[in-house]
Amino acid sequence: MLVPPPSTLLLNRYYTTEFFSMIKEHLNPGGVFMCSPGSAQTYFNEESLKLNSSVFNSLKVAFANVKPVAGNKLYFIASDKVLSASFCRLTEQQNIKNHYVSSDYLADDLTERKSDEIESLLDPEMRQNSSSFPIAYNYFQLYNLSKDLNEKVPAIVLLILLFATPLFAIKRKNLIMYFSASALAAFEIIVLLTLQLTVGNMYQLTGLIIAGLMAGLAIGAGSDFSRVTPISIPVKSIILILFYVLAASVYGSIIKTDSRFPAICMIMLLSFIPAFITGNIFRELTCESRTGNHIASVYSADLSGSAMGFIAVSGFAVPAFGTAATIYFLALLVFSGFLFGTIMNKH
Amino acid sequence: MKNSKHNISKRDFIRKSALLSAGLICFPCHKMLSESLPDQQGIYKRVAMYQEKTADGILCRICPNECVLNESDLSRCNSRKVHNSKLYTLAYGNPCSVNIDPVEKKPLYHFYPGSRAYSIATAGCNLACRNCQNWTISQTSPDKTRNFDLPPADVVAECISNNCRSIAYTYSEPVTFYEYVYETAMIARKSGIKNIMKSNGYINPEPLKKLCTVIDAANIDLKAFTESTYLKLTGGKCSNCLKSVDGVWN
Repeated sequence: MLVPPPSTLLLNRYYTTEFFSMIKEHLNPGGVFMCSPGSAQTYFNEESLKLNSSVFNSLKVAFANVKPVAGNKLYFIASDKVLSASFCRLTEQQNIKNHYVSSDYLADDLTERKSDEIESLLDPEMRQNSSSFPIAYNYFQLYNLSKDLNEKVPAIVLLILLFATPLFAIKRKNLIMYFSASALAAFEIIVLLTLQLTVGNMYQLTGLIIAGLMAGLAIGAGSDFSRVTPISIPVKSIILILFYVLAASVYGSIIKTDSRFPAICMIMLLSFIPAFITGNIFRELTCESRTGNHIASVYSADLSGSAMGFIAVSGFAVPAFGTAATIYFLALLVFSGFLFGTIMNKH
Repeated sequence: MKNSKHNISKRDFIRKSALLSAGLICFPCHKMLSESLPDQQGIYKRVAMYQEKTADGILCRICPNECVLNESDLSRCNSRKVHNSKLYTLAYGNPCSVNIDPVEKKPLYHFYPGSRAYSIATAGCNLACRNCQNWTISQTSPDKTRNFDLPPADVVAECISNNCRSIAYTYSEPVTFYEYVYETAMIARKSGIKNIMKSNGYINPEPLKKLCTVIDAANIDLKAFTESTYLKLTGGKCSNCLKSVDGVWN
């Protein structure tokens, strides 16, 4: 299977333990699978070793034997039967007539030697790449980052400053808005990722999920529900925290489900609820003042929180800590808003 | 009403968050740094050739970059450093890549065809090509890579024991490990082993002339045909490379 390396979360799916197990189910007994997570280098730096180790270990979950083979790219061949990188001998054994695979071009002893050398460099303890913990994607990003790092550092610093600057403009009483919006944006990314994992083709469903989320925000912010409005912001924050904790605990079952329709319904519901509560927090914060200035500052906190949530989760948290841990982290984010924006904000 | 002692001001919150973030960022950085810290005792093994003291510092005359370095400065090729007012090469007896390749891979099709070349490289390069396929070793320093301990005599011994007809100085840039190439090639010649240099040709005429006395085959990459493209792609000057191409054959 020749697909590009796990440079995106979408491509990372083709290098997960789940995907390899699925492949094995479809292979004939003793069938051979091959994939290539990156290039074959004369020297593997630490980042590329981590990337290759995580994919190698993921293949080991599904297949009894895995062998790295250095060619134009680094190939991993995997099977339940014994594998060999002696391609010349194998082609002769099978009476395959060809001009290319001969000892003039590929020497068996050199291929085997290189194979063993690469395998000895791979770390058997490295975490396996999975749908809920896309660590290979993370290592691929680090590998890319390690190239011309000095040139990239100014851009990274500039980006951090750009996203950190709004923090200085946020008023303390709007911190709950900042953190809940941040958590919601992050959760939206996770929902989209989950949709990709459970449904696969997500072109139209992406629109549906975003529409569900926006509807939640709109209803929460625009409607005056007699049962919801009297609930104070700290209590709403606690409900939001509990929601994220619950979502984190059921996340594993959602991505493992085989029935797509209930999964989609569940995902849509999951995107609607926090959006509704966050929208309602926005309403509460903006209703207490009639000045346009105040509404603008709450809106600013909302947007800058969302920006931080989008970036931090898609670029960092999910690949580094895994999805379930990230959702727990979202609960922690809202708790920070609850702590600094509501409890300690009382005068 | 004044804030109670349990309250936290916005400024405090931002300050503490910034400190926490900085701590979290610095933790892995510190780990990375400590992992990459070289064994400083062993890196100054060999005094560099073609060095000259000038009023501005020590001039390295190996390649057209002609770095002028002061104490502890690292050359542009990441392979030379000034220590106690002398220029040392960090790339001596410590290759990070060692492979046995068919000579055709160099690529040399008419030089002992069908034979094998014992191929070595240390980290470092005097150009910074945009599309370098060996960037994991070319754009770093020998003190930051996993290296083999392979002095010149051992390279030749390994080459012979693996039935290789030649030693190839390749992958990164042999000009940056000039001393290692030269001394290994001298020993190899005595043992009847051929020497192959796979280079970008970014070297000054005098060191090139000396090197050509021990090299049997060379493959010089001319990476572009105009000065502007050459500069844009590699950070070097095309004319310097052309001089070497001419120098190798004459």
